[in-house]
Amino acid sequence: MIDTRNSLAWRRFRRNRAACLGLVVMVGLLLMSALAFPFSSRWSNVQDLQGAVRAAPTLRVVTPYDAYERALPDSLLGAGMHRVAGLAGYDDLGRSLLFRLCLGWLVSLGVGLGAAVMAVVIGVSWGATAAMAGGRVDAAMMRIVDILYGLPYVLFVILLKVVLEPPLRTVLHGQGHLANVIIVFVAIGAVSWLTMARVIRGQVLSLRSRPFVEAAYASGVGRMRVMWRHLLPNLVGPIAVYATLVIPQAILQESFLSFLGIGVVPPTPSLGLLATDGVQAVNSFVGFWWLIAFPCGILVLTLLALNFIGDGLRDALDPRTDAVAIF
Amino acid sequence: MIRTIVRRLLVGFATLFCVYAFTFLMVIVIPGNPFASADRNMPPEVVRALEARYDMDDNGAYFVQFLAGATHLDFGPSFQYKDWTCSQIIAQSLPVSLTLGLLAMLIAVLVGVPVGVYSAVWRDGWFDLSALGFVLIGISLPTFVTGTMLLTVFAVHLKTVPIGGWGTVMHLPLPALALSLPFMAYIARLTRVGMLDALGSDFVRTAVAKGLPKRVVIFKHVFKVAFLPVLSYLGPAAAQAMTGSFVVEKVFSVPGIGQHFVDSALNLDRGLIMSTVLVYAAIVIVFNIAVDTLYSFVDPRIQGSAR
Repeated sequence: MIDTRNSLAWRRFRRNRAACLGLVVMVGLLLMSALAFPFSSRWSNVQDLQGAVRAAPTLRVVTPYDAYERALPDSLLGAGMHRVAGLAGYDDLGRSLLFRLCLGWLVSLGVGLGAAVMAVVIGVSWGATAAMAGGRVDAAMMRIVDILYGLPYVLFVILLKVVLEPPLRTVLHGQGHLANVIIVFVAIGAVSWLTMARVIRGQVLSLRSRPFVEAAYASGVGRMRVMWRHLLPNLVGPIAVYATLVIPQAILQESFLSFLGIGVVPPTPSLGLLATDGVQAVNSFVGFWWLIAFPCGILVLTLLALNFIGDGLRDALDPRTDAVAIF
Repeated sequence: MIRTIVRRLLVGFATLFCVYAFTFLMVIVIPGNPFASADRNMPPEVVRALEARYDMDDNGAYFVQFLAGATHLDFGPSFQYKDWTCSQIIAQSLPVSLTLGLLAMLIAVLVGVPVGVYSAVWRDGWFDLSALGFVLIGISLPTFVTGTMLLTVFAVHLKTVPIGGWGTVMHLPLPALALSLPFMAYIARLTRVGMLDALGSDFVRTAVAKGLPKRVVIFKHVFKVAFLPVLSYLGPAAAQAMTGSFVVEKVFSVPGIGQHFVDSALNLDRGLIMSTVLVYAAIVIVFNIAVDTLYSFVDPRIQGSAR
């Protein structure tokens, strides 16, 4: 069999044990939370103030099915889900931590993915435009990136939130939670495209003078077409690598913002919010280890898996990169 | 050397001006102002008078006036803290954050570099693997979690340090340690990679071949090369540690400048937003210049910019 570039890359990726483990962990978590989604989206906010407030993890059924039932028609899967509701314990309001974790993981991943898409779109178009234009335009555009690097990102995330919130709320009228999550990832994405822009500019600059690009120009292909058909396919590697590395950063930033009270707004759960809740529970009373151990455990697991996948992709797709791989 | 520094300082001032203009633009497009809040219900004349007092009625004049004040570090009044000027607020909170950040960077380097060297020399040994575990935790656990854990163990249970606040020496170690963890982890890893790279190069083989003791090779030859990437990381990292510590400052109730980054933006406190951004940008620029200068001392082949 002849090795195409992609199968070679896949083989290199598979050889990286940490990256494969990361992939398995991410797929496992995704399957779990996707399976639970029909239930966690409705049950994550069902409170049981009678028996379940800060109840420890248990296999026992704590909250009667009636409390949940009104939300969803009876089904076998539903009954099974109800039985495992107490597996990760309950929070301050007697809500099942398992359901909140399942939904919160999806929310955090959504924020990460959204921010990564934002970073890719802005970063690639910015970097590629600068490199293709060259000269003064290039210098000016990269100068802007330098300046934005020197700005405190939190402040800009908050300012962006303040600016974007009113228009987005009117567009997504009635879906406040969705609007709020979108604002969070747009704000994070809008500040995390800088590294992407630099990397892409460097790549385009080095590709621009390659013979195949000159051949394309010489045979009368236009600039935009060269960009789309000849340069962009060669940029897929670095784009994939840096997009994967933006996701864990964005998830971590979301948790900081949520800790400061300016991220995802409760009762929508996110890993950051759940960790913050856990931290506060540990602060006030000693014990309730599950409230901090599970959210932080999932958070660490997710971030590590994504970082490993990103590094594996970098080794597989972009072996000549000048960025330092630290793992 | 001096000419390079002067040139970079001039570029730095130009950058600062661009930062100022950009922030100004952001600030004036934000809808609303702190006086127009619904719960206060002030008559329009009063709002107008207040806006005039804080120069909110004429953006052009404000732009020039703020800039003129900023040249001699006078950033005007703050909306939020009526009795304070922005300069007073910064003068009070910046030294706190600088102390904390400097201490954190010191811890990060003093622990991170030896850990990196050791794990590179005994690669894949037990020390290397446990260091990797520590690094992974340090990079992916948010500082508000590690900070709270430190607080619970050392302040609540062992009662060795006060729970929070600022003022005595005993207030320093916990927040500095919490702040240093992510940097420490990254520096350890950076050092390890640099060491491994250098250990595999020809000049090391030559040094070993001519019979130099291992210790001399590692510290005189390998370490010198391996430290360079760490040095260029230190500039932005130090600036970040000194000003971006809002989470740690909140966990340990440290009265640093970090809170003002968050609060000023939330309160739309125009003067304070711009002055904190300017201070932050200035620190970032100064640290980058300082590190690049150091860099050319360590490695004389590099002239001027390290990038």
